[in-house]
Amino acid sequence: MANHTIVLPTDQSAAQKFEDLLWVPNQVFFLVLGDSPEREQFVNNIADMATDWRYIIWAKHPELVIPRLLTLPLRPGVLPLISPFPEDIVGLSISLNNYICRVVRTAHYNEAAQAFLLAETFMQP
Amino acid sequence: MIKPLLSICVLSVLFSCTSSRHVVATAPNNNSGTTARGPVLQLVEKDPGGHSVILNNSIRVVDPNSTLDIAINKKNLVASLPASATNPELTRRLNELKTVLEKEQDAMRNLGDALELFNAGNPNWTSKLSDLYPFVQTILDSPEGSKIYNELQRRQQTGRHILDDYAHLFHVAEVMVKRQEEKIIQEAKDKGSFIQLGVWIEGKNGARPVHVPGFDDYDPSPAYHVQQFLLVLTEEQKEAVLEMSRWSAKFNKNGLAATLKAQFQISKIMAATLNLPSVKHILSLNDTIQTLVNKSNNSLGGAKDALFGLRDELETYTAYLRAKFSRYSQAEYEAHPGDILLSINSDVVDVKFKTEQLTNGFQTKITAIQTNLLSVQKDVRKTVSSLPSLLTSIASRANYEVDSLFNIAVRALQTLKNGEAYRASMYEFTERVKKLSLDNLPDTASLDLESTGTRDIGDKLTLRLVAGQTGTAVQDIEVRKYYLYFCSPYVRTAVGFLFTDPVPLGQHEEGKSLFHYAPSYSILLKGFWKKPEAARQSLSYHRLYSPGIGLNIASIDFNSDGAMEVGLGGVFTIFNDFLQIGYGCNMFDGKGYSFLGLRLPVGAFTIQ
Repeated sequence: MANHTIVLPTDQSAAQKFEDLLWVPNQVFFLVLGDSPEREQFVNNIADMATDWRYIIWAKHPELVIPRLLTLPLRPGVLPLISPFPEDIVGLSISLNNYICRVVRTAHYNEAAQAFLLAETFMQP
Repeated sequence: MIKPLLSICVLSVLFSCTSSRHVVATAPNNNSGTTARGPVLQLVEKDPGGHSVILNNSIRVVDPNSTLDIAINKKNLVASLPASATNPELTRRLNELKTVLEKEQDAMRNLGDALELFNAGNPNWTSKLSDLYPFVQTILDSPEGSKIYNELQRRQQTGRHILDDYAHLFHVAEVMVKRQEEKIIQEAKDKGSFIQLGVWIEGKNGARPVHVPGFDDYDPSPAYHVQQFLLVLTEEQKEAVLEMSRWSAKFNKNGLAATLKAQFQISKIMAATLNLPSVKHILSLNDTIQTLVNKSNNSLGGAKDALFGLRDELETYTAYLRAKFSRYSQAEYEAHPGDILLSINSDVVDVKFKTEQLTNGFQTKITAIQTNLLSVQKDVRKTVSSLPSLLTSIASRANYEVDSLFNIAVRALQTLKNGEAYRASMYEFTERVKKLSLDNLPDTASLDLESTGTRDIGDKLTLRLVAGQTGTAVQDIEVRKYYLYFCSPYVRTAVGFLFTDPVPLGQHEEGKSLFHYAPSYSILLKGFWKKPEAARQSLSYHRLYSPGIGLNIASIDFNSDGAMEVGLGGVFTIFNDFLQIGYGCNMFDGKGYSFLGLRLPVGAFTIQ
């Protein structure tokens, strides 16, 4: 697994780790949510696209990062995320300025690619 | 160090792939087009020498004997369809997508720059990348684009996925453009839209449609070849020489100033307007009414309203006339004579309308004045009572005179050759031009100008491509205009009225006038001052300067014995031969002379 893939801890420290990552400059994220063989497969599949400014974060326990996700601003056109957090969300991309740019519901390589494209080019505010 | 180098290598490979696709996608925008979507008509001229020239945006001139290969770029046509021919929203979206494709190369360059800057630790990489957002958004924010992105197989693996992702994005844009075009074609078909292509040649006698194979049912005109090397005078030129011969005889006999009362009639037309008797009457009537109204405000009885109304109308009319023609009172006009003529024509039409409007209103005033005459006080009644007959007389006379003036202006306008103005009414489609649907529109046509009938250099060739629906007016998609001129050396004759000076320049001979006047003609070599490529691009070279050099032959009478002598000399001409200068030799006595010649518009002068 490339060093651009970060697996969050499964304990309470995950929230802090995630928070710390949000403040690292020059990094665009695709956050994968959930812990299942399919998710692991997905993370492995998309790992090769995480180069340069692109990073993959794998939150095996989504509930540890969801409270923070709900506070992040959304790119125009992205439907609002409300609690309870929809379970069908596979992952989402986060821009340099911590905007959620694309929410992905299918564990498809090209879906993640699209999410990265939107997140890395969206520079607002 | 390896990473940046690798990225440069990969980038160059990718650029080589994407740039070749880019050229296909955007089509060279080197033809003149009326839209930002690229030209629909793509024209290639084949001149009689076998040379091919792409008629791009900068070309204004074509050879009068050439063949034009016309190709219709259907992709650009679909993108340029007017709202009436299809669903405007579909066209808008298509053009949005095409813009993405057109920017592909720039976008990939920005991406490459962003990677370089990022790897170098330069924070400016983000601004390079943000330039790509509009394209990413246009494609991926649409459900269709996102779906195609997922469905399309990645056609190229570069081993570097950021680049690959963007290459894939532009591939998606290509597919979307194709699908959008298909939708538009279907929509246009469902709406019964059609395309028409018409071509006209406009010369001295107006515009006439010409046959374009596949696009109309006109018959081809008899073959006509415009002579490139014309050494003989035309009938018109022969008449001009005769007329100038008469002028020179009079000038040489009586002197120029005493003989020539030439008036350039066109520039006098407007001045004449203010001197028309009826217009003078209107101006003086205005003064009369003004005095009447000022003096007898309370003594006009029931005629007051009519007189006040008349005063206001006359004031408006006279103010309009004075304003309209103030510029014609200037001694010299800065505008081109052709422009002045068009402007005069337009002003005369306007005056005609305003005068009719004014005089049509007289009848109501006449009735009101007559009805209320008894209520007018005695001291002004006589003046008021004379007004109705005066108004009637002015009304009929003014309309007659302005009509005559209008006819003069129209005739003057007809003398203007090759007017610049695009008069759409001259390029109307007849029933013989086919209405073609998008799916049976021919891709190409060949227009042999030699099959378009009689024409001459300076004529205008107009191609008009329109779209429409049954029952609605057609809308232009693209209009191209070219002038017919030779762009390689050619020979023409020119008639000139010479001011010859048989002694060294500027000197007087005792008892002789400064100049001898003589009719002449020149055989001129033209078209070699610029290379063919440059000559095709410069309209002023042909229409304004058109320089020539050649041989001048003059009929002179230096010894004033009434027997004409022949002068032969070299001449340089400029401004379409309006100005001719040169040096010649009297073949009878061997005397040299310098000369200045003018190509006078014979019909525009009167000699009394």
